[in-house]
Amino acid sequence: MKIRTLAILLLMVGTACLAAAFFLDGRVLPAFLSILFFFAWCYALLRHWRWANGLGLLVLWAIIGWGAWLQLSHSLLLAGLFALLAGWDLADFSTRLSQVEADAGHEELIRRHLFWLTATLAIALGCVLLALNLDLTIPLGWMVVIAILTALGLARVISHLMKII
Amino acid sequence: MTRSFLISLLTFATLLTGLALGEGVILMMAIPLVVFLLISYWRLPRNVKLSASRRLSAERIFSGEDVQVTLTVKNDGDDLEEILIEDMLPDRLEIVSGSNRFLTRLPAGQSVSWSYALRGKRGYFMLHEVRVKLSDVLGMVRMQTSLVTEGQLFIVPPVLRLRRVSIRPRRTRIYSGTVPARQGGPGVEFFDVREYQTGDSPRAINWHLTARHPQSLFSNQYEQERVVDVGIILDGRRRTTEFGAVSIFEHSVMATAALVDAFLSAGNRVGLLFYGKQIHWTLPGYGKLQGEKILHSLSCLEPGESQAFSGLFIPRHVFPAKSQLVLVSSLNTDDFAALADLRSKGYAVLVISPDPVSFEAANIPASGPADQAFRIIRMKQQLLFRRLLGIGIQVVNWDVSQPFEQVARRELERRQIIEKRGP
Repeated sequence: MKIRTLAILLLMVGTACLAAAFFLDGRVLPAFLSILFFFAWCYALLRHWRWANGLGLLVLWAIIGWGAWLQLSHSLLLAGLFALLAGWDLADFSTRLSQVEADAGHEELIRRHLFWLTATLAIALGCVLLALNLDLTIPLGWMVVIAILTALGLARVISHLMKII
Repeated sequence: MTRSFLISLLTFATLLTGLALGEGVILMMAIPLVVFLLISYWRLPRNVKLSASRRLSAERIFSGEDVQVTLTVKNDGDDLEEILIEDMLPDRLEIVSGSNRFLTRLPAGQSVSWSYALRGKRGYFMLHEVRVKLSDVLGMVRMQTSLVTEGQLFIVPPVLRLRRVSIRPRRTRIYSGTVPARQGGPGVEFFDVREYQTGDSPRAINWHLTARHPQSLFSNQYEQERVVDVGIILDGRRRTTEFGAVSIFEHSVMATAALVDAFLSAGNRVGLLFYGKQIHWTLPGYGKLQGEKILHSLSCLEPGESQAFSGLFIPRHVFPAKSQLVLVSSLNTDDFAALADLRSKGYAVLVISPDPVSFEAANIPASGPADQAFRIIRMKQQLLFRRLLGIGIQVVNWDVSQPFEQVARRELERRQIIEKRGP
């Protein structure tokens, strides 16, 4: 299966979950908007507009956040989130692949990318499910310490990644 | 916006929004993003050590021919999950088959190699840079580096084969060749009759003359044929006509290559003077090696503008006295004085003039004023040619829409009457 087709399929699943979550709550407009964005994203993907991938993710991510704030179905929102994240990654990957001619080396490249993407999403899903089911009571002081350490650690990782570019 | 920046932005925005709204589910949305960042950080190649080498099927090709480029990149560092290799090519080279970009995975200690074919216009090209873009497994971080390789490509002008170019300078060299030397001796063409001398071949005895003078024997003398010095001057002043990618200068270069080949094939000593933005001089020499030197020089030449060389000023000291000069130039009326000066110093001058008038006329839409202008320019051109003919300079006005071999066969292969009028 071509990577672009797989990306579109995942985006479709993600959008469908998102739209369903809104629709079940009786909110038609956000559901309709999500579907509209999905089609726009697909069009951009077919035209190889790389910038559209980032924009698509930002917009749909915001819609998921809105859904979470409105207390919509968690399972649908999480399914949508993971599918969209995978779709975004593969859409970007297919754009990178399209910049060069198809070659025998691509098979190995695609296989490795899919492996690592699946592994990443599986780990993330595990963490999310753990967070959903784990009920820890942490004192406020420790909470603040953990939050600060998380922010500092994240900032360090990000700054390292940005410095390399 | 890079992927890592986008994910970082989303992570912080999601965390801040979750904290601000006190929504655990929104905070949880940040988890996949954080995992993405951490896995990218973990699998980042720390030790990048790449080397590249390039192999060309030929370093010197004729314009219109293909060259096969094989590029090999070796990884002596960490595993590289995604590497985009791009061979940086000059603008004037085009890819005929394959691609100069290659995306692959390159594990540590392994190398990757691929080929593609190039074609281009006349020129000298340095192929030194290979650009490499590296990514981690998820493509979050993109690093870019350049690798240096060795490689050069000469695309020389096509060499048309001319059978013979008839020239007759006043001074020849001592080696035997194909140019009549105005001296009696062994040869083919009848030159003179003299009294028989010991050593003359009995076949050379002129029996008709001997019959009229019974007391003496007379023998025929033939004209010696020797090699000569030929200086080819290529005019590269910018005023030469250009229409987009089509330039009359390219025709001049092609004619020069054909003449160089014809003169060298006849055993002559040939040098090339390029007269454009600066003067470029290829020292005279004989044989195939000299032909290669001149072709390499021709591949690098570009027309240009210079105030110092805007008029035609030919440095005479580089050409042996009374040798043959061939000027390849779309002549200008101002050039007469320089050519007359050369002629007055005893040089035999031949001018090959790629016709700028017919070239422009073919590239400009026909209109009344344009036709009128062309007629006026044509008359001025004819007048200049007549004046040059008057001082013993042969001019070949070449309409570049016709093949040069055809024009050369018609105009250059036989001896011109003009030779008899020379000084």
